[in-house]
Amino acid sequence: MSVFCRELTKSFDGVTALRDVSLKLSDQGIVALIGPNGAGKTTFLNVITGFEKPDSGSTEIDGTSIASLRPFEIARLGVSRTFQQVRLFWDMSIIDNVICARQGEPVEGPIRSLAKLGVRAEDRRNRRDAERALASVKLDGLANVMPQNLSYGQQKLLSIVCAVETEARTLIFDEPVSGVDARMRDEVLQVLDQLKNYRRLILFIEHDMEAVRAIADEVVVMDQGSIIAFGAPEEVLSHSEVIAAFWGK
Amino acid sequence: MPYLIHVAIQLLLYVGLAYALDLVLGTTGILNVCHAGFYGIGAYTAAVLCQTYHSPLWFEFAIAGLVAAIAAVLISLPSMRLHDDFFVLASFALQVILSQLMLNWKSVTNGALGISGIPAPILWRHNVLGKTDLLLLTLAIVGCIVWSVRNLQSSPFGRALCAIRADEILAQALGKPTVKYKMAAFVISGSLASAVGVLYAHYMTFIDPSSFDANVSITFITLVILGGAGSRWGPALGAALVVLLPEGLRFIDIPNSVGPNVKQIIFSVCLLLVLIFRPQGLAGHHEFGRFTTE
Repeated sequence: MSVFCRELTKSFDGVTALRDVSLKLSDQGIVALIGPNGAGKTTFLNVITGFEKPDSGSTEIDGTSIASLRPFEIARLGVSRTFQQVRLFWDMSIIDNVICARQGEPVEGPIRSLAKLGVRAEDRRNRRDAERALASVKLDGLANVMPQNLSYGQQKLLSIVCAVETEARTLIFDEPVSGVDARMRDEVLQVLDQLKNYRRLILFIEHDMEAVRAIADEVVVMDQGSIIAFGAPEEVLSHSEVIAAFWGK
Repeated sequence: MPYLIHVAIQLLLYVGLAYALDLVLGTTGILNVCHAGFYGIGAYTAAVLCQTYHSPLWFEFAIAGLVAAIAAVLISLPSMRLHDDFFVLASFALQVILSQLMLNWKSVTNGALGISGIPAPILWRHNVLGKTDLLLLTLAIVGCIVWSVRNLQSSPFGRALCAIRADEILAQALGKPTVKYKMAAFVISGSLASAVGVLYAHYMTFIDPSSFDANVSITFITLVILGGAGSRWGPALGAALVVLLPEGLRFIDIPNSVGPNVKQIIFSVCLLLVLIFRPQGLAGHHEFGRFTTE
């Protein structure tokens, strides 16, 4: 699945968050999006997932323009995401969070749900797959616990599991390891790294350069709403403009 | 005995209305202020069809459900995309429009005088004449409504509605068509309320606009929140409290001059006590409007 952005521009009350951003991402691999605070990284993710509409420019996913699509339609094209602040369905158990992410419209439709047309079998299958997904991140013992009883790192991990379980081909994670302890950080990075085996495109925002170096195949650097560098991690991170943007001259 | 049957039918009608509302209020988390309007659509449709065309009960249910569904779609199409607060205003507007229609469309509704002499419902070419038969019929229909709502709430559709209630943005990010699902819940809820309205018209044999105004809608919201929005038994408990508590107060010996006021005060105090000590409702798990712990 390819993502192609062309000259995206977005302003909020006169403040330009994105300035002519163009980027083409191939259909698999791990791409890190880095940059100082206020560089426009989250705005960029919000635009390509439909949560913000650009002032100008366009985005195509697998050749389909997303200009008129709503976030759920973009998700159905195969783009799933997490958020900077952990978002989960807080009044649903952990396993129900994952099942909810897995279940799709045919089985969710009110008529089919009311008539129970094939719903039980699919629900059982989704539960089994959700249990397997939780076991793979060592959360299976907590399946019936409410998410607020998890540690912050486990909550981040659960939100990643939910995004992955939508079976989207493009996964977008907004700061997946920020604020989590070292052990959980390694676990999250391991999960992201394993996703490479499933031929998916993973785009993630991160401030932790060690994490970026550890798993990213490519790095995109943003500053003041523009992309200032794009390429292999070692090459990009030694770029003089990138060093200036991060640590000053 | 007739008194007990009257109370039982009244209770069943409220239970049906409470579960129908709970699909929107408890499961989806949307404050719907026009539930009585849908109830009224059912009652007036049944009255007009039965008196004018001697139509059978199933036909009244079908037409009432259709009219309620159309009204629900018309109001939710523009408002469901907006923030939930706008939907509250839109649903209140629909309630006002429906109340005004009942009051002023005199050729159909007979205005403030209402429609009287509504005959017993026709079931398989026979009229359901006795009160006991009507009680059994109400029990069967309300049973179907409760079964349908519970079935939906525990289904993948219900899980998706809970997800929308908990975090609509996340639900969208996971591919849920939130507007479509909210509309579906609203349409189903309105149609079920109209079915209860059909039963009400045949039971009371007289209907007027005051039975379906905004105050009645607020009573329905009160009973669902009191019982516990989104819970298994909450709507039934709320309905029982709202119907049976005033009935129980009838037996307290209070001088006639102050009786109604004192009873109203006792009822209000009981409601306040529940809301203070059980803000999540008698059988609820979540305080309405505070489902998230963010």
